[in-house]
Amino acid sequence: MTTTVPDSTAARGRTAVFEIIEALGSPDIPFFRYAFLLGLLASVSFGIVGTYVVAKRISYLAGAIAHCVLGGIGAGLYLQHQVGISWFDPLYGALIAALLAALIIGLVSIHAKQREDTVIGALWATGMAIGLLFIAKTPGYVEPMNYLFGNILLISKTDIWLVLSLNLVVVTITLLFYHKLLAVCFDEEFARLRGLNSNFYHLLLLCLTALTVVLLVRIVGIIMVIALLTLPAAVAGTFARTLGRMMLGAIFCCMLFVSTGLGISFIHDLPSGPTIILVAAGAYLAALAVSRR
Amino acid sequence: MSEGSSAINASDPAIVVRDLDFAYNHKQLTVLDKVNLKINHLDSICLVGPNGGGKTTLLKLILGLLTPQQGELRVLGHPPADVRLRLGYVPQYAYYDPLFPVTVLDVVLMGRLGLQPLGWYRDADRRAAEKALAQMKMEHLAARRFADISGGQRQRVLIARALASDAEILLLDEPTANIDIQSEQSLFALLKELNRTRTIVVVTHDIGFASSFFQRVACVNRQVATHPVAELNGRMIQELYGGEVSMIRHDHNCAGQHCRPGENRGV
Repeated sequence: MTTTVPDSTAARGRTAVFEIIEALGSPDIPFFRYAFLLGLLASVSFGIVGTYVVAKRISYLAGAIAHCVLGGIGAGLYLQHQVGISWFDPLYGALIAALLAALIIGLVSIHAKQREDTVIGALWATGMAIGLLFIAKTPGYVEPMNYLFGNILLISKTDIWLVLSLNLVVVTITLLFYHKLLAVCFDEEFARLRGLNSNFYHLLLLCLTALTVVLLVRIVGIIMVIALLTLPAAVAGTFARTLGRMMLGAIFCCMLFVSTGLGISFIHDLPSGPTIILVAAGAYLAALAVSRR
Repeated sequence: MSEGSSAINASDPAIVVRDLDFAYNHKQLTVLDKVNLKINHLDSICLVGPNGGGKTTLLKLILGLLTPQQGELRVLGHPPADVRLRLGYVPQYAYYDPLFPVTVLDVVLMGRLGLQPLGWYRDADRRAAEKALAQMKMEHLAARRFADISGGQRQRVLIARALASDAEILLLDEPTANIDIQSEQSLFALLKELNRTRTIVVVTHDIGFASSFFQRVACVNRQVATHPVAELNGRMIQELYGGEVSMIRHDHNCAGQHCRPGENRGV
């Protein structure tokens, strides 16, 4: 008995892995392949941008940007289906809303230090409220839950190209400005003293965060996207000595969490977003426990 | 050669402040009022005064991080913003995020920012950073995480960062806060050494430290009055801080021994 239990567990594990591999190759369920590929590719942007967000401690700013995305999605859907502007994909609305929110939130965080949390909290809720109102006025076309909690059925080949383009932008900016962004994140005042326009770099980081959030909303949804942005970086940050290594660790962790979460959700027929987030949260708790030993 | 980096006459003052006013909150909260101050090359001067008196504000104005509302401020003969790269700033280490993933060498290299055309450090930058670390006897810690070293060591790393930029003026904000007496003494010796080639301005509450090292003391409390250190006495300090002040000698000969006001020793 004592030997059969591990054997059967291992066998079940092997079967599950085979099932996932088979599903990835199956022409009948391309969305699963797309989701898997999108998750792995997006991990690059998520690992890099997430590292900046965690290191600079601006998770709540990123959270506000993510929630404002719903406003853009709602407006996009309304324009597309109620006004008849058929070319206006909700993704465009999401991108505009996210970048606008990033700039407003960035300027508020720079200039309105005393009321920063209040203003950002208000923007957070306002963005969602606008989105829900537009969605309510676009009946029959959309299920808000898809955007709030993610739905891998919505992922298409176009999303893969978009994420590849985003990766190119994020990696190029990081390579060009690595030391400057490091200095601004570590000591904004000193960076200014050395002639860097720290406000520009702050806004640049928020805009990158906005782009990353928009493209990943389809997998994990608006509510949970911040967890996937911050948890892999937080896990990597418990062990990394430099920002560069933290980025590499975060990319690896994000790939691991997304693929594991998607695999578990496929095998057990669970919603993919929450499963990925729980895998990431479990890993973060384990990393904290290990690092405190 | 740019205007900011042009050579200046050694007899010119390093810092000149004339009738300077500064207020926060849209000019509602006046911090500095008609301030006048002249600091010569190779001077060592400390800014002392009560909390909220304007010491750090004055330091940030000199650094060009704040802009005066009125008056004139020249650093190395230029507006501060034009000579930022020639100033070395050492903030209080206590403000840093203890979890930030950055090595000691990375921190020191930040002192070289702004000197590269493309934003990536060159070999010359690395050599300058390593030399600054060696000057602070910290080269063995180059690869360590900044968060993993002690408070005194972090203070030295931040001074190394300022030195890496070949700064002509070093400005330090409360360098003895949160460090032990031994670190304080070695910092004191180090500043004395650095003062042979650089002007040094330090914000401190530690008048004991000030009296044993600086040539001049600037008492900052909305306005600025400078005195040679020898003239500093207990009454002056009591007036500045607005109440009873505990005077503690802590030069090397009587560390921790309490002295009465008027004995011209430290707080």
